[in-house]
Amino acid sequence: MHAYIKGSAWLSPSGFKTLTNRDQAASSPFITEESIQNIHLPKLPRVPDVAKACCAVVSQVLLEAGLTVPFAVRSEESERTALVVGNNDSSVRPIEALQSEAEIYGPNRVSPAIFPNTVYNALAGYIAIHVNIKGTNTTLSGATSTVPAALLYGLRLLAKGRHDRVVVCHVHLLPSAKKATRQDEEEGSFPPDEERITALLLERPGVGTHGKYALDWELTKANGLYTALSPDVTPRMDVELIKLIQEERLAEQEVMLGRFQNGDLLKLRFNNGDVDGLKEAHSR
Amino acid sequence: MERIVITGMGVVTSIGGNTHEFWHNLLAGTQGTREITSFDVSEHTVKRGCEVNRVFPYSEAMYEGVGKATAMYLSAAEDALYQARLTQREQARVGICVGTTMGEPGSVRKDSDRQGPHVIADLVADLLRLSGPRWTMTNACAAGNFAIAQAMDELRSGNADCMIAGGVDALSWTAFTGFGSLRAMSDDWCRPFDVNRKGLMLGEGAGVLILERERDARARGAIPLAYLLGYGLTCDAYHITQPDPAAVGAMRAMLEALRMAELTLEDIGYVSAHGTGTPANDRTEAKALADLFGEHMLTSSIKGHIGHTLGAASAIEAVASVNMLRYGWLPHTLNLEQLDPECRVRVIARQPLRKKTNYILSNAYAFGGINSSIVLGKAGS
Repeated sequence: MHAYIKGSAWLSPSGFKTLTNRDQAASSPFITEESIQNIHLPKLPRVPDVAKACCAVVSQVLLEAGLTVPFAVRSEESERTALVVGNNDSSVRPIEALQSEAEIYGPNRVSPAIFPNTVYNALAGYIAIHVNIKGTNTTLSGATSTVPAALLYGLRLLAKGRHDRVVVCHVHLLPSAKKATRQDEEEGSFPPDEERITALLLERPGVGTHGKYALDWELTKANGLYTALSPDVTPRMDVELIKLIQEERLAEQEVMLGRFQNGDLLKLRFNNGDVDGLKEAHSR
Repeated sequence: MERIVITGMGVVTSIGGNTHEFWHNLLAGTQGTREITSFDVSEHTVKRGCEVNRVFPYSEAMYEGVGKATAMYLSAAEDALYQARLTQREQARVGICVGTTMGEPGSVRKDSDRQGPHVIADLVADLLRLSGPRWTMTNACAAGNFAIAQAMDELRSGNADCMIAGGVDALSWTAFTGFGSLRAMSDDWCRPFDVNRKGLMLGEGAGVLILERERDARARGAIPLAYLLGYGLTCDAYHITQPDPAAVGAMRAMLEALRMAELTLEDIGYVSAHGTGTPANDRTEAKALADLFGEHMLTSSIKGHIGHTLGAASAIEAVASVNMLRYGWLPHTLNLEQLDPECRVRVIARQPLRKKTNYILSNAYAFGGINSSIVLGKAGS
């Protein structure tokens, strides 16, 4: 059960994070219109900023893989590419906006543009339209285990053979801009975590060219004592993986662990594209 | 490939708080539509919906402090577990998949530690002491089918011995106001496929299936109610709220489901339609069915009875479909008086149809261009 990683991208409040700028602190923890102002995007009328940012991130990983964006109409690439979005909080601000409009104009005069964005999978819908992904399109929410859940879901899609590529996108938004602003005023600092949108393009070996990076995965069942005995997990697997790729540190084998709410562990092994090496390690 | 069986079912709807009552009222043509009381609709143009008046718990204490969506899912899951005859000991090896559009509406609060759609799966898993995998699928109005599909995969991959899979949504001010803003709601009744339809009627409820590998179920003496044979999931990539009128994605989803089930188009005797009662949905789905199966294909929608229950819809329809396979009755589409001439399929109207079939396909569609189909087979087929 292997996959190549053909593209990766990490958007922060200050724009795309690269090897050179990723440790610089952002002036705000929120992804806004300014976060994507330097990114070339075709006009996306009536699309919320967060959705535009998601479209930019996914476009970036597809372009990095040498693919043409958007995928051609009714092409095999379009139908055999899947999209998995991990998303816990994207509905909160649109719900607040809906409530706010209803308070001002009354419940019968709310803008019809707001409601679709209160639905968790709206972001996945915008991305699919933007890059023309017509394969399985799944949004899932798993609190702290959303990142491993999305990765596992995507890797399984590849293993089942119905898809050649899967884009795994993680959207981490702070629940409410209002709350964070109040917190800033009280504490004089922004919350410790800033918003991020990350994406990884996973590809089934044999589909395209040899990948520069490869990964292998296995799921370990919890033994009932996981809280006390299980090993440390990687809290932000998506970010840590992108950092490894940016640093080209995958010459040696790296291992990451993600934990699910029931204690099960997702073990990911990465290396420099040597699938046979991963198979050997897996069999050991 | 290991066959997956359904060994238990539970529902909570506006026309029945358990599977027996729901099925009886479905065939009797009962409507769950009434004036909304869950929240203030005095200023809304539309004031009606299919509301669940009461959830019947096995244990009042267990339901203390839980939101309505969680309570409905829990009640349906308890019924389903009871029917599946799963003991407390066996439940420890069970996982859960919840499909939902809005999650637990009251939990979306800035000051809440437990916020987000996953709280339903977490609470139910904790209350039932489940240690298997937990998934929350947030694919809007197709979320129930996504949860069922994911549960099937967990069983086939050997990651769980048994899965509680279903969908749930409680009526929320947000969805009610939001669908109102889209001018998508009827102010009196939901009339799927009718030329004089006015739109959808929002509802609430939960539908839950207990899924197991056939060998495991038979080994512990469980009685399979039906087979879950396949699923197909695709995306239109066309419009954020409207289906692609060419219906290509909807057809692909049905074909994928049939391929996984190793069946042909001719094997399907009935299609449980998404059938929301909006012109765009009804016409696109009818086109997909007519183009794929031909105009003879039998279909109906139960949304005239229970409204559009969003993430619960496809799971409740799966429960209804299992009973259709078991008892040989196909429910009629309530309030359908004159078929929209653009819907070139045989929509069952006025009264249920007595027809035995071995295989049913059930569709659900959602915002974001989501298409989903599952295939269910009669036990012993």
